[in-house]
Amino acid sequence: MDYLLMFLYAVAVLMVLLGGVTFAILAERKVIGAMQLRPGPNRHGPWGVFQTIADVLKLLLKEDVIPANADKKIFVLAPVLAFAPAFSVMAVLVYSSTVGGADINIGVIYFLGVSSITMLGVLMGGWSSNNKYALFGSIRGVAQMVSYELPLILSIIGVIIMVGSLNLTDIVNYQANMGMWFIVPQFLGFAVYMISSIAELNRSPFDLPEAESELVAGFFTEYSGFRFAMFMLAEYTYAIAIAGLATTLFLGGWLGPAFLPEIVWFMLKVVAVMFIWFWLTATLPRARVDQLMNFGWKVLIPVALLNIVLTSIYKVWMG
Amino acid sequence: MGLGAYYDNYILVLIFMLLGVALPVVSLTFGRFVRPKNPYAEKITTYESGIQPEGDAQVRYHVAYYIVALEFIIFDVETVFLIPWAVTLDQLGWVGLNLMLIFIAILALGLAYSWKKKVLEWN
Amino acid sequence: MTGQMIFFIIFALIAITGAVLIIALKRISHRVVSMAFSFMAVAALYFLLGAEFIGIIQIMVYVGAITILFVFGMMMTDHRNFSFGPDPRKWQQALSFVGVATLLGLMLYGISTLDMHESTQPFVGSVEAIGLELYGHYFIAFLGSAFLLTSALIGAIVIARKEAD
Repeated sequence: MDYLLMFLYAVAVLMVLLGGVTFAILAERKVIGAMQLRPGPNRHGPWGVFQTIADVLKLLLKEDVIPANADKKIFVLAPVLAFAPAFSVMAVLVYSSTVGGADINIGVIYFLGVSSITMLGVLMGGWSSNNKYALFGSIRGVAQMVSYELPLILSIIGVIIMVGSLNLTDIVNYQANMGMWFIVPQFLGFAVYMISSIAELNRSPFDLPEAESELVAGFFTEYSGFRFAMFMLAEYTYAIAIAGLATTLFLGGWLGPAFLPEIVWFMLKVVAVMFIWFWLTATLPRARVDQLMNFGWKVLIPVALLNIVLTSIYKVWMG
Repeated sequence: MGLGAYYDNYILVLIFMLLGVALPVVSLTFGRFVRPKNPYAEKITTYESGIQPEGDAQVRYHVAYYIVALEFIIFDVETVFLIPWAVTLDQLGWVGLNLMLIFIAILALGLAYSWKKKVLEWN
Repeated sequence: MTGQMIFFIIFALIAITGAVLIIALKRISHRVVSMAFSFMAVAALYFLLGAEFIGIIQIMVYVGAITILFVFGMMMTDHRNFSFGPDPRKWQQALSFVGVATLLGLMLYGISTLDMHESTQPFVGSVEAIGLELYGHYFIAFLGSAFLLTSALIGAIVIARKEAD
């Protein structure tokens, strides 16, 4: 009976997620459109709300082209390897003090460890296509994700030092007891986290792996139809998950004034984090490869290490 | 915490993983009934902006990427050491803090060396 | 048969199949993927044992980093135009088979004679316990690992720079 409940919970999360991704894509196009003084999608339904649904239906009806030169087995496997870990990390997110997934002791590290499997999907997709654009895209992408995963993990360690636990519920409860969200005492960590999460997600201004003006579509150039949709879905799922982790770690999770339910606060914060990403997409030009790598290794990692040293000295000083 | 609760939590994780695998597999399998299938030689050639593909794509790649991956492994292991330390810092106290400062200093030496050797430069 | 045993058999089979495929498959890219699956199954075995931290580190370091390194290594080398030469002779095959069989027998004997008493209370390994042991009792080994990592980094850079020039 318990397991049935768990299964229903997982299915519910998947359904909410699919709806969320649908409207995240629409919101991204609408927000960027509004910032650039154009209407964005507005044909399907009022304000274009059915645009993404129409896109998904179209992709479902498209032929699934597998290039003759591709390594077929890995080509087929790559979208699964990209989506499954991006969805699995949602298992540990906690949405309110009563609604939450698996309550494991290593929550944060589970999230980071499983999400690193996504890189394998990107690499395999690009390599197996046997296409030059795809290969460039995937190698760039993985070099970038590898370089920015380190500052991402290091930026979280400041929070772990303060709390002394890896459990996501403990982290939110600590913020409740402290009466302050971690964005204030851990601002350095929050800044590093936000910058490196953009690079992890291959979003603009760090969207070099998918630079459409030079690499067509990057590592999924050869993918068509629903396999392409799976890569897009994986990307947005991962984006929502990373925004959810940012909310839990730095923005106090479900905490907020009582006039709204806890879960609504959580969702609002996730939306706010994603809005910042859309804003950056509309504003900033793309970085160059050398700038990107230099910034990751020579600025973000030292800054994150400094944050760890300062936080640990504070923690030991205060006892 | 008892083992029963421990396993129950991981069964939920396992359910998420299986669903994550099932969604692409099921949707692609059922999509087979609604999508057309008409491959011909021109359609399934490798895309290269519309011209004939030139040579093989899986060429030898620059060694710089390999070095970045190596540095990543070294620093990944460092962060792995940092995690149990961060969790137990309030029990370890000043001794633990100094220990980790020495550890970070030694690894920063490695970062400084690769900085000086221009491994992190891209051109 | 308990649920624990069923999961153990499933994951152990995946791990062994992946390991066998690493040497049995023809293309290097397929071998790397099967290696990743083998690593993941081993991580699942750690989770089954109650060692959750070790399990997730197995995924983070082995699947997330070492497999990537292998793929980059594969891309760096000219592996497609390289053949492994003719098959080894009959007596070489027989000799290696005998050697492997002996090793397996020794290991099985060692495991079967091992005196492993069941712990009275179920135990879940925690990160705190690892931290206190590592930074309390084994801190010299821990600092030694820092030197090991740094020398590995410097050595790798020296060798790779020589290759690049």
